Amino acid sequence: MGEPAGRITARAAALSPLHGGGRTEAVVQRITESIALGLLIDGEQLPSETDLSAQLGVSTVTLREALSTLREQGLVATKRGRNGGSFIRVPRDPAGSFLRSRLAAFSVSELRDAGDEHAAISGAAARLAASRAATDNIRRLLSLATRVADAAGVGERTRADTRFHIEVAVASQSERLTRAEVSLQAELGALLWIPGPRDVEPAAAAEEHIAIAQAIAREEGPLAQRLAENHVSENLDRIIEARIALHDKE
Amino acid sequence: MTAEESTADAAARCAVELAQPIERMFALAAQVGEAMTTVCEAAFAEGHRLVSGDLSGLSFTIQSALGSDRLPVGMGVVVEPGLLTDVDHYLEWLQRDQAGTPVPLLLDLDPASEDRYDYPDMEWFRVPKEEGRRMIGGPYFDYRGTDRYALTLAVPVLASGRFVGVAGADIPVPNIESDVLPALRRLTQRAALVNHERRVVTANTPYFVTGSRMRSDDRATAVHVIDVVPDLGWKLVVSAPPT
Repeated sequence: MGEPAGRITARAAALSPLHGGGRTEAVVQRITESIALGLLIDGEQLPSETDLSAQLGVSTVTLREALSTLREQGLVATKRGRNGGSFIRVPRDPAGSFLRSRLAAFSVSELRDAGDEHAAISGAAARLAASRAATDNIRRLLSLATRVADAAGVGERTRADTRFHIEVAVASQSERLTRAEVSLQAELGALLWIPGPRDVEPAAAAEEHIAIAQAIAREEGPLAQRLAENHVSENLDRIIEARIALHDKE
Repeated sequence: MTAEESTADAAARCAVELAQPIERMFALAAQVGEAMTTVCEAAFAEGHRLVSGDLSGLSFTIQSALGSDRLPVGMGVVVEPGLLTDVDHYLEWLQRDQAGTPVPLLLDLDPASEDRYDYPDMEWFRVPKEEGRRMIGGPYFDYRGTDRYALTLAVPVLASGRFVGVAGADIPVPNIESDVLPALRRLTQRAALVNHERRVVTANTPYFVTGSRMRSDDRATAVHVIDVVPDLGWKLVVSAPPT
């Protein structure tokens, strides 16, 4: 028996063909997002340039340009010699400049659009989780809810926050909603923690997480949905404010 | 025979059929578990401290178990933390790739990683370890594991009386569905196979949604609730057709 066609492994998804043309920026973006998501992990060796360009569906010239950009950003290290190759480097705490340049890649209207999708996905996931979550899901949700407040540094805080939201989607028992949440977290997750005009208070974020987790545990679907939607929308407002503030520096 | 008796008989027959694929999977898991017991007991007898490489010899047994049935997508053993001297968390697990070839399932098990696959925390590991009994976890979306909607069944593995890990199998929900739906379809009333948490695994009606907890009023009005596998808490719930 083979795997159903829809099945993807994390690594295969990270290195699958790019749609919409093989531009250097697209390769850089894919690898950057895959690292942010943990699909590519620290120290992992990338396939040879020939194999990788074939997998991504880009020319070797494009791939080399992308790898050189990624090296400048410190996300890839290249070793020469017999055991050489390109290796993934995961920044423990992404520099503010790295995050700000990711934020600058979005327009305000694109952020609003991404936020609309995120609110829809997170809200639906929370509502479904309230009637489907397994005991194990609830236990993990309650323990992940506060982790964002205990995290030290932007990197750890982002991962803790992301992990909570993905667990809500996992608790919804929906593979598609989970994949959608994972990809939205990869795109937007880190942007929330960029220092901006109105920073997120980790303790306040933890309290909102607890409220969502408890609504799910108490099987209150509509409440869980509303709390999750509000949580996402308010976070998006902060990201948009930070994006608008970037204009002052441009 | 009254109509009521005949639906009870039909439900009882259905429950027996539903148990078959589950027991078949546990028998395969037990084979893999016995192979692990043998490896561990041999090492204990020689006073040899186990390392992860010692378990690579299990791959032949795992591969033949996995190849003998179309239900599981992956099978293997998951090791009790602290058993091995070289790594703390370890699994010897094969999973069919897209072409159907068994390949090792590689997971992030690094205790320092925020995103690690924390198997000691999963119910299918915890319950066999703490209660010494077999169990089926899920249905659940196995995030960062098999990354699919599946059941994980597991049996405790003991060596010289000591818990050394679990042997088990991952069964994608679509696979179990195609195995049990024909039996559920033969019932004329609405029926669902539910797990120990009363969550629906498969049903013969969209009224019972896969993954959802059965509502308490549906449990109250059920016509028949029959053990499918008593020690697992899996049951067949038959309810009257909607009025």
